[in-house]
Amino acid sequence: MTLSGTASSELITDDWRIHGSVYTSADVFALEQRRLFHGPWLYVAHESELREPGDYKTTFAGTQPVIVTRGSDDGRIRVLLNRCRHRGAAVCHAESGNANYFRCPYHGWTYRNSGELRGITYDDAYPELDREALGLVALPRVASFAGFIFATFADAGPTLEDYLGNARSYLEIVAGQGEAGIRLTAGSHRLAYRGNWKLQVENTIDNYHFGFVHRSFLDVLADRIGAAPPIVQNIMNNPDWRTIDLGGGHSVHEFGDPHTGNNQGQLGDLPFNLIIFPNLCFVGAQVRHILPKAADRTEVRLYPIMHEGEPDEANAAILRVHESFYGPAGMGGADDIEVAFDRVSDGLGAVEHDWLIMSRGVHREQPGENGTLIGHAADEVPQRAFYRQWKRLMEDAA
Amino acid sequence: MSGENGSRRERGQARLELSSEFAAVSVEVDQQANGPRLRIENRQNRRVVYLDPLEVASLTWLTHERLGPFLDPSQTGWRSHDEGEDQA
Repeated sequence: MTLSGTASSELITDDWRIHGSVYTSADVFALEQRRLFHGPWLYVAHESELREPGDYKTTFAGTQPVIVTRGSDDGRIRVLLNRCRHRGAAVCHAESGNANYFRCPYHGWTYRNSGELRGITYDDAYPELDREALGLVALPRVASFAGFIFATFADAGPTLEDYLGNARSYLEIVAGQGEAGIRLTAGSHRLAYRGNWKLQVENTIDNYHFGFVHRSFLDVLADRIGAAPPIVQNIMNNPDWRTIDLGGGHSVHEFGDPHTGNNQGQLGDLPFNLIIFPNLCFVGAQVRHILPKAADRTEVRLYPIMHEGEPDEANAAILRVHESFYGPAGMGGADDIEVAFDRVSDGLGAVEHDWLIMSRGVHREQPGENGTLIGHAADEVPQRAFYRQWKRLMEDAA
Repeated sequence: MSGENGSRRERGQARLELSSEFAAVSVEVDQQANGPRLRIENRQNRRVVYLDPLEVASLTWLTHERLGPFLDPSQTGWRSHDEGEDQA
């Protein structure tokens, strides 16, 4: 498949220049939906969001709206397309709820929360309808790892564990953050911007920007502690802070030991930032789910990670730290939206020389265990990890 | 057992309201009869059902699947030939 005459392979050069259309083209976006979001495993929920039979939440698999449900009688997790089989209305509207049956708001078609069509209003008008074939469409495979639920549109392919590969041990560490595990019961807050979804993925592990975009945050921090905060020095000079291409498009930035590291920046206590290809991230004290909407439109849902088995005061403190940097009135998130998303999207409007440079530190990437590549904390290792997999999938035969 | 809006609700009973994006009901214990009954009101159409303790106890044997016929709209509020039937 070509993109208006340009092959995907021509959009990323051997010396790591990325063509601007990767972020702006509707054709690229459409192909991403077929290759990146229709086959690979996609994150949909955490088990703590669906604890009781009948619990459900609404979210997206790529651009497709889905309902994640826990079966009323069998407790099984299913992922169903949120689209009435009659005239296409989204059957569920609430972000989350508990219901053993769903009733479409348009004409009242009613489904079990396992998907089967249970009934139709005034059904004598449909003497020949094959009701058994008209359940909500289920994604064929759903699996969970360390409490994180993923689904795929592919009938066959790698297991979730194989797909996660070297990222598994990091997900297990996230799952063990609390005394008795974690829960995403604080809900989410959302941000939206007019720009490409990959800008948020790339910005999740980009230590290079921190001292520039978040200068005002660092100044406030310096006033509080009476000295320059150590985070920028650590990024530039601490050999234990490192970025790693985990393979499969996944990447991580470790703040030292992945079990005990600390970002020393009052950003939340996760000992690393982690990207699970294509659109799930962990940063600070949050799960960050990035929802592509169009080439130039993105929604991001941020779920603070609560610690199970710890006092309310401890969890309240997690929320306050999270809000102080990432919240709507926080000192960091708004800067990222303005500079890393809005300003980049503005600049990409200049197309005379339409290339970005993603080669920082490529000469000093070192091979690690299990096929990983290890680089400097401020290098563009995570971005290249992402685009190696992006290129592989985009070039696959249709 | 079921009928239109019950008007003799005794005041002071605890009244519980449950709602989702699909339905809204109120539930309370009714003391107007010779024994207590559970009164359930569909707040969308004011339809009411009274259930005695044996009926409520028997409901605990239900699976959600067996409750399915009541969720089929053509078997309840949306039958084509029920004139005057309240909907919802």
